[in-house]
Amino acid sequence: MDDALERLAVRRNKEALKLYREKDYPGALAVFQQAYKLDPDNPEICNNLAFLYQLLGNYDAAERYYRRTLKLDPDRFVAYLNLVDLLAMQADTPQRLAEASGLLTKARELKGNAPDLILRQARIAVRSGRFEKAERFYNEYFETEVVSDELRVEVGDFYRDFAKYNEALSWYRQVDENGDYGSEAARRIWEIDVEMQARRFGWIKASSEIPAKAQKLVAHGRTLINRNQYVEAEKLLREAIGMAPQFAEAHADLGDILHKTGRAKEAELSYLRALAHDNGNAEFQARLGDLYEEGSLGDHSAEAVLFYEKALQLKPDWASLHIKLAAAQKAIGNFRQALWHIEKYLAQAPEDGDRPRALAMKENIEALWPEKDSDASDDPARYPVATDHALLDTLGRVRALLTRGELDEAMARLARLPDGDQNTEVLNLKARILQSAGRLDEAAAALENSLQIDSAQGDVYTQLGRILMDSGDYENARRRLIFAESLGDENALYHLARLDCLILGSQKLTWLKDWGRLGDLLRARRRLDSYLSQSRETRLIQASHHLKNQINGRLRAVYSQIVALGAVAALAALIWYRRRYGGIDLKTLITRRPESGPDVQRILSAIRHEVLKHNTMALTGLIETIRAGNPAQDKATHIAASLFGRDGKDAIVDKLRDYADRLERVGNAYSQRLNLARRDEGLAAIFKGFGILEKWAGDFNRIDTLKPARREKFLYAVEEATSLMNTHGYEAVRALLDQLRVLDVDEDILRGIHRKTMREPAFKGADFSDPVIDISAREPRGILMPRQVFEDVASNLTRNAAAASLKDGLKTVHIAFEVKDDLDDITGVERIALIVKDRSEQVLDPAMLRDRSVEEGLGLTAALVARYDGIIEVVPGEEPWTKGIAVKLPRAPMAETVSENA
Amino acid sequence: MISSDKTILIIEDGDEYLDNLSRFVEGPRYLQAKSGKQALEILREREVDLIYLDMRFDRIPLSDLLGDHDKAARERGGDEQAAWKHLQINQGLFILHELKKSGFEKIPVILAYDFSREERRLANLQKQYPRLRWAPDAVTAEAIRAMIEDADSAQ
Repeated sequence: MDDALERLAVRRNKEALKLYREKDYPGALAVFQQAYKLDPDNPEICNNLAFLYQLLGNYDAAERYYRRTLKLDPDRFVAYLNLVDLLAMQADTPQRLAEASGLLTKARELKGNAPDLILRQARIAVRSGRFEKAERFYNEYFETEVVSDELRVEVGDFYRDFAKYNEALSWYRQVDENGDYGSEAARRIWEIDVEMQARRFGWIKASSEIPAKAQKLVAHGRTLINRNQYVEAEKLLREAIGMAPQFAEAHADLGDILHKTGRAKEAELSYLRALAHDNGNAEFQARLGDLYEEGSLGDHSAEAVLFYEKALQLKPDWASLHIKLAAAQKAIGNFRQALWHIEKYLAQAPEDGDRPRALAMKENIEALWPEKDSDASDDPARYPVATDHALLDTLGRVRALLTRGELDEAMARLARLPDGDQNTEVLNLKARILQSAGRLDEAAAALENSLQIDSAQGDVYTQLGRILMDSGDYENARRRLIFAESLGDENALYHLARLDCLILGSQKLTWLKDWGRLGDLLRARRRLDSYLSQSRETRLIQASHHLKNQINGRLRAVYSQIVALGAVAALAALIWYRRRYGGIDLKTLITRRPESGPDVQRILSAIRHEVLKHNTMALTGLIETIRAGNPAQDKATHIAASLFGRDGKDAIVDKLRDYADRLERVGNAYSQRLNLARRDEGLAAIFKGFGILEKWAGDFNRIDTLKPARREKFLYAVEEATSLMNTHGYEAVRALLDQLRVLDVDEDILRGIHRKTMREPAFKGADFSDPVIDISAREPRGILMPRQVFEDVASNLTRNAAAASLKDGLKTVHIAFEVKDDLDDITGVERIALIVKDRSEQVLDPAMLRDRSVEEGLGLTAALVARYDGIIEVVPGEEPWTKGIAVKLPRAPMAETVSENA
Repeated sequence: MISSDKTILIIEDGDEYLDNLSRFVEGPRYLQAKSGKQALEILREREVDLIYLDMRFDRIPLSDLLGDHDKAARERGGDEQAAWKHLQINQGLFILHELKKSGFEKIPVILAYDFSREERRLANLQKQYPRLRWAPDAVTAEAIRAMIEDADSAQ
């Protein structure tokens, strides 16, 4: 930032302050804005700008600039005060009041006990409904500052709102009657007098004080509450409160809604406001007690006890309050008092109602508190501690102070108790205070002392376990909690569950850690189920449900992962299994896809010729030589070179792998996955044989120097490999070659082909004579060609004959099929020749066949025939036939053929 | 041990039979021809007691193959490649045919081919060449030795 700009900004700030002092607020705001633009990092300018915004009613902007000021200068005291005032002015949520309170604490750290701060703390406490705290801050302020009439009215109002009418009157009466606030104070004195008179005579507060409309709104609101229409009801009640802020019932009903909708903090404030306006209402006292006892604000059972007791004082015949009080007393460890209230309840309450609950609670307490006087009566004096009302009063106050966070005061009160009163209740309470103050070691020591006095305090063991857990001493915490569980403290179940599912260290990868803690999580869930089924108290139940949901979520995550991983593992296993053991053999391939036969046959022939052919002779020759005791090194080296290659080249084993790859590619071409090494009888034996030889490859080159035992093993291995390759493998390959599908050419097939051709659309309307069929070939007339391929070939020839006949203008299509033997003199190969004859003048020659003349319909016929080692040629016709096309296909071997005709 | 004064002509397109027979079927003198033409030349010059004939010849120049390529092509719709393949795969039989035409049909021949499933074909061939024997691909040295001796005694 340029110095000149900074200086200019400071000058503008001064000009704006001058305008402010002259009360030209809009002008001051404009110039503060200019100054801020020149130097936005100047905290003084920023604070001044915020203040002007606040002054002119733009609270959002004001709040924004105050927060920025504190960011620029965290020690700027005045900004704290300004922001506190703003938050208090717009304290529409408890959070804003809490923030204001926090800011004041921070400001006190900066500035010490400045009166301004203390007064603000008092006012914030008032807004928060904290009577005792507010009173303490006011008193603190009055110790140093002169009190103005304005403040006297304010303090009077404070006491009045909290139903402390005598204190209120005292302050109002200090106001100068002739001063600015004199008439204000006099009016308030009169109102309180009327109120007090009305109460004295048992009058209900004059309804005329509450506008009729507000009363109607509240009445309607209650109707809506009964229908669970809380949102609408809340609107009506807030409207009523806006019209009549002193309308206690409206505050209490609003508290009910807030309580029911989970806004416990706000509910507490509403009940306190209700009590401020009508402190003598037992219902309101009890409702606030219910809120504290329910537990959503934390452990406030001590406060619940206070408010229930007040309610009972106001309405002594309210039997069900005894049972509530008993539960609250039990929760804070006052078993004697709890039992006393249970007895009172049982004495007053009808047979139905909460009697079972009361009896169960009694049983539970008696189990927890074995040293109680068995001679029960309804006289509290039978409980030694309960009779000490001074001690009870002190403990009640200490609990209240503890709840309100006033730890020092609470501790001081406990410390003032005589040594003789340091019993388990005192020690337990002391531990709670120390725990609240974060002094966990001391709290744990206090509880240990308590347990030395009375080791049957299950709830104290639980408390100790909680503290140890907070201290990170999980092992000892678990021990104490398990002990508490064994003593029957149901809350121990909840805390053990918490311990079981505690996430140690980083929150990251919790799911991964949970894998190893599945047992803990399951145990935690069982404990929570047990807790939820046993506990009749509302405390911790919400938290238990929440924890259970969390555990369920984590368990679901683990289970999901287990399922997902299981699925992946199963899939991987399946893939692995399919890759290893799946797939088919060559025989299945040929059976399923006969058209793959020629390719398979060619490759198998190559394997036989190039891989197997010479090995048997060589390997058996080697075995003979060794067995005869003759030098065999030359032979063995020769075989090794042949099998495994010379300098890594020309290895027969590589050729085998190459042919196996080719076979697999053939399978893939027909969408079939082969597993030659495992599924195919022939190839698997050959692979296995080669595998054995490869294992012994080293010994081939030192055969003459091998020790006799080793040589014997070598011979055994070579014999086994030879047998596998050249007996099992070779025989299986040969058998497979024999099993290629065979078709018997007979009259039915030929007639079928002729019939099918006649029905083709191209020959619609054409006149066909019966085919002439002449079969002279000897039986069986098996050919190595799948039926479908043969039909394609024969149909093409028939179609060509018919098309040529019609093209020549013949009125009737005459076709003849001749099947005869054919022998190749040179190769000795026997074939079956199928000759399709017609009477057209069409001229065909081999070149036309090779060119795959489409017109003649011979398209792929020649290629198909060649693929099956067949021959196709044009033959001259004999009257009345003009020509014929002959297809000569090798006869199938006689043995082990599979006919397709069946 | 086979008589060492016997001469066996091996007709093959590689050296495998020469290598293996000379190592594992010791005794006879082995000659080698790598084509039908070369075999005929040797037979015209040398006395040969037995011919060991391979069936498949796909490692020699096409021009050295015996057989009517044009005819084979005609029979295969003019497909010259298929015709060459036919000559290669059956070259042993074309050589056998040429041996007969050239008057050497009395020399015993062991054809390296498995006729176990093609008895009629073998019979057809033996009508033209009665001294034809065959050895399967997977044949032991001992079996070959026996066949040589058998052919020798039959002579």
